[in-house]
Order: sequence, then C-alpha cells, then structure tokens
Amino acid sequence: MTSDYASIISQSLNTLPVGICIIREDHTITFWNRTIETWTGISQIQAEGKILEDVVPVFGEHHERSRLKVVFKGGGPVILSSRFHPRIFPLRENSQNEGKYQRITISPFILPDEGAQAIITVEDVTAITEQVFRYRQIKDQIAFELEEKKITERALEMALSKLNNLASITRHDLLNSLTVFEGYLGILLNQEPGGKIQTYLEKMRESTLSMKRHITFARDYQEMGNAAPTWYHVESLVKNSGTGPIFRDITIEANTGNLEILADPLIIKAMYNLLENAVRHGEHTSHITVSHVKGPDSVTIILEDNGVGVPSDKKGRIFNKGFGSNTGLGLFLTREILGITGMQIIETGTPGKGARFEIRVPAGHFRYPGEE
Amino acid sequence: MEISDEVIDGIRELVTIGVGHSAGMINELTKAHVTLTVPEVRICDMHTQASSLLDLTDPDESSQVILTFSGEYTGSLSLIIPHKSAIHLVVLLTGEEGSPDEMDALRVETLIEVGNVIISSVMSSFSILLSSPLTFLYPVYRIGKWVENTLIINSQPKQGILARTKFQIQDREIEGILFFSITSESFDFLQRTILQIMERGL
Repeated sequence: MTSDYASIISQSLNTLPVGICIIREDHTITFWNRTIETWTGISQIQAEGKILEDVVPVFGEHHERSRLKVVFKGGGPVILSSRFHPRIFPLRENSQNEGKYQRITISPFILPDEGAQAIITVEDVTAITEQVFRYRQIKDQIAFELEEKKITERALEMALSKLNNLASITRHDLLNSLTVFEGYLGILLNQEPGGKIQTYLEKMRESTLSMKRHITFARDYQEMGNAAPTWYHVESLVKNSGTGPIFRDITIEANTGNLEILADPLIIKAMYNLLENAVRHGEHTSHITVSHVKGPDSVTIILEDNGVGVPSDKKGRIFNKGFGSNTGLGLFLTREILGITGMQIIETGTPGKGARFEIRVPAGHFRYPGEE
Repeated sequence: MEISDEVIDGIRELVTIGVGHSAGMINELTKAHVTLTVPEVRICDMHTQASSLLDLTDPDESSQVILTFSGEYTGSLSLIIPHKSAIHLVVLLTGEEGSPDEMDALRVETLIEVGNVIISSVMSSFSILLSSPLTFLYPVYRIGKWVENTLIINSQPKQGILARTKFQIQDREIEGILFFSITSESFDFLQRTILQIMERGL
C-alpha cells in the first residue's frame, strides 16, 4: 500500500461516525480513529503502538480474549453485542451518553507485508438501546394494566351475577306474596263492605297494582344490556310492536324500507312504549307514522302521531323517571333501552298537532342490507 | 454424489468440536448453564433436498444468523432457529423478565452474537483444513423462510451440510439447524483435505 493511499484510507476512517481501531495479531494498535478518540478521551498518540489490552482493559478478560483469538484463528468476524458487553471501550466521562451502549464488530483482514490484522468497529447504540428499554417498559405496563382490568372485569361480572340472582329471587318472592295479598284483597272487595273500608281497600288495590308495575320495571331494567345487541328491521319492529286491542282503531304506517338498527333486544318494548304512548296520551290519535331521514353520519327515525301532542311545559320532563300520568316509567325506560346502543331520542312535536319523536341512530349502528 | 463415511465422520467431528467450543463460550458469556449437542450431521444436495430439510419451521418463520465467506471454500454458514424458539432462547440466555413475545432490536443483536459465537467456532474448527485464510462478510440476521443467501447465489452452491443442533438451557430444549451451503468445488476441496488429514493425522 503506498503511503498516499494509506493516508487517504486513514483520513476516510477518521471521518466515519463509528469508532475504529485496527490491531495486529500481537494486539498492537496500529490505528485509532477520531471518533473513538472523542468517545474515550484517549488520543491517537496515546493509543497507537500500545497493546490493546493496556488501552481497553476489557479485552484482557477471558471471554473477550478468546473471542479475539477466534478472529485470528480463521473463525471470521466476531460480534460483541451491547446486551452482554454494554461498554467495552472506556468513556471519556462516565456520565456521558455518547458510547454508553456499544456494539463491537471485530473482523480479520490481511495486509500485504504486514500479515493478519483485525479491524474493531465500535457503534454507538445508546439511542436505540434506551428506546427499546422504554418501549419494553411501556409494553409491560400495558400488559400489567390489561391484566388488572381483566381481573376487575371478572370480579364485576361475578358481582353482577350475584346481584342479578338476588334481585330475581327477591322479585319472584315479592310477587308471590303480593299475589296472595291481592287475592285476599279481592275476596274482601267482593264482600263490598262499603263506606270508608271500601275506599281504603280500593286504595290498597291501587297500591298493589303500582307495586307490581315497579317490580315489572325492575325486571325490565335489569334485563337491559344483558343480551348482546342484534340487528332489527325497523318496519318489522313497528309492525310487531303495534299489535293488540289498544291499536285496533289506529293506522300505523312504517316507511323505513330495509333500514335495520343495532339494538338491545328490549327495543321491542321501547317501540311498544312509544306507540302505546301515542295512543294513550294522544286522546284522539288515529294515525301513527314511522319514517326515516338519512344524515351524513347518522339516521333519524321519526315517529309522529296526530294526537294532542306534548304540552310545551312538559316537553323537558317527559323522559324523566316518574314523570307521566301512567306508570311514569315508559319513556324513561325507552330512552335507557335506546341508549344502550348509542341511540338518542328527543320530542320535537307541536303541541295541539301531535307528538313527534326523533331517534338518532349513530354511524355503525344502522345499515341498509342489499344497498351496499 | 457418493460421500464416504470417513468424510461424513470428519465433518461431524469438526462441527462437534466447533459447537462444543462455542458452548463453553456461551456459558461464559451468559453465565447460564447451556449444553449444546449435535445429534445429527448429514450432507444434502442443495437443489433437491435442502429446501425440504430446512423447512422444519413451517408454517412459522425462522430466525437466521448467516455468515458468508469465500476463498478455498465459498459459501455460507447459517444458524436457523424457529422464530418463537429464537425469542425464547434469547430471553433464557439473558435472564430477561417480562413477556417474550417479540424479537426487538436488542434481542436481534443478542441472537446475532450467540449465533456468531457458534458459527465462528465452527468456522474456526474447519479452518485447520485451509492453507490460506478465507474472506468473510459481516454476519447478518434474517427472518422468514430459509432461502439461499443472495450474496453467494452467483457461486452456485451445490452441497449442503446440515447439523441439527440442540440447546439445553434450564429445563428447556431448543432445536436449531447449523447449515453450510458450499459450492461443489469447495466440497471437493473439503473432502480431499479431510481424507489427507485422516491419512497423515493432525
């Protein structure tokens, strides 16, 4: 190799962003580049001509020495990973970040007239190593939180199951006792005691009916969300819900085509409540229409009747629990059932002209089969 | 090609010496008790047998550390381990905690070093057959199905030497393959030198 050529090579190796050290077979350092000089604080003059183990003591240790031996014995390049050898080359300052984690490659080569040599390359892998450590920490944290959530979920499921059982047994026993009570009350009323006793007995019967309604509501409310939501064809839903003696003189018209909505199975009850409300509170309702309007990211189902409508002063309260002239639970329950799958209901009718309910169905919870 | 039992025995011995030597180095490196054994060494034809023999990892991917060399023999030496086993191996060797579910950059680097220890030791063991040193490329890591190394494909490797390698660490056993793929000329040279050494003794 001419001295000019060697000088060019040497200059090039000095500009590389990796540490480079070249040694002979007897481990004498013949080249020590600028980068390694910067990282270690050991100058070229201090390193070159010295024995590698004197400048980089880790290479004096048994394992590193035997790996180096393999290179000169024809084993090919050797890699010393940052995992097993975090820092082979000493650092200028212990606190410095540059070169904190190093990956070393030692590769043999032959120089004519100079025999076997090995080039030791030092890569600074601090950034990637610390990034992987952070990533692993985040991943472990997520895995831990997920496991915690699963444990909580299982505990909640068990608690819910116990509560459901308790509520169900209590309701069942309560209804049995109430039926007995209602029976005796009936016997007494059939004897027509008259006077105040008659009045009190009738009030007791009203209370009994109210208690039964509360128990029924409790059952319905408990069932809400227990079953997985399924798809319902709106026209069929309206048709199936609007049956019974109360709808005998009512025309119910549904124009929602093949629209289907994702809803809790109690949607049948919710639809029945809305239709029954239209008849019960509409006073002279004879016609109910169910239609729909497609929006950019939702669909609105409109249910309107030609009854008396909702008075302005009551509009804000009709969905509250306990409000109303019947059970006071119908519209509250309806809103809750719709809410399970993200549907929202509002009343937008004109008092005196009829009630109008708008149900907004969010994206992903409605579909038009056959239209995709 | 007819290969004599002496040659196969010679190859088996060289691989076993290399692997045995590497086990000591891995023990020292990892401070874990690792036993490496080579229960089977076989010679195969690259075109007709290699793919199916190396397809042990199917349908999963495999992790491979590959060293390419040229000179008196030209080819590559790969350590091939089913990908999931490779992750487990690294985790066992490093004593890491946490979920060993993926091969991140640090684990790749660690596997390259472990693979490199084995490969270098085996290469070093085979170097007694050489009269001049080989030229090496840096070891590389690859993930996927085993395919012939594109770096030596022009040399048209024809012979494969397959050594099943078992790592025993703690109570686990992880199996991999050490696979030499070399040109016909290289294999001829290998055979000749093994026979010569056997005749005259080391």
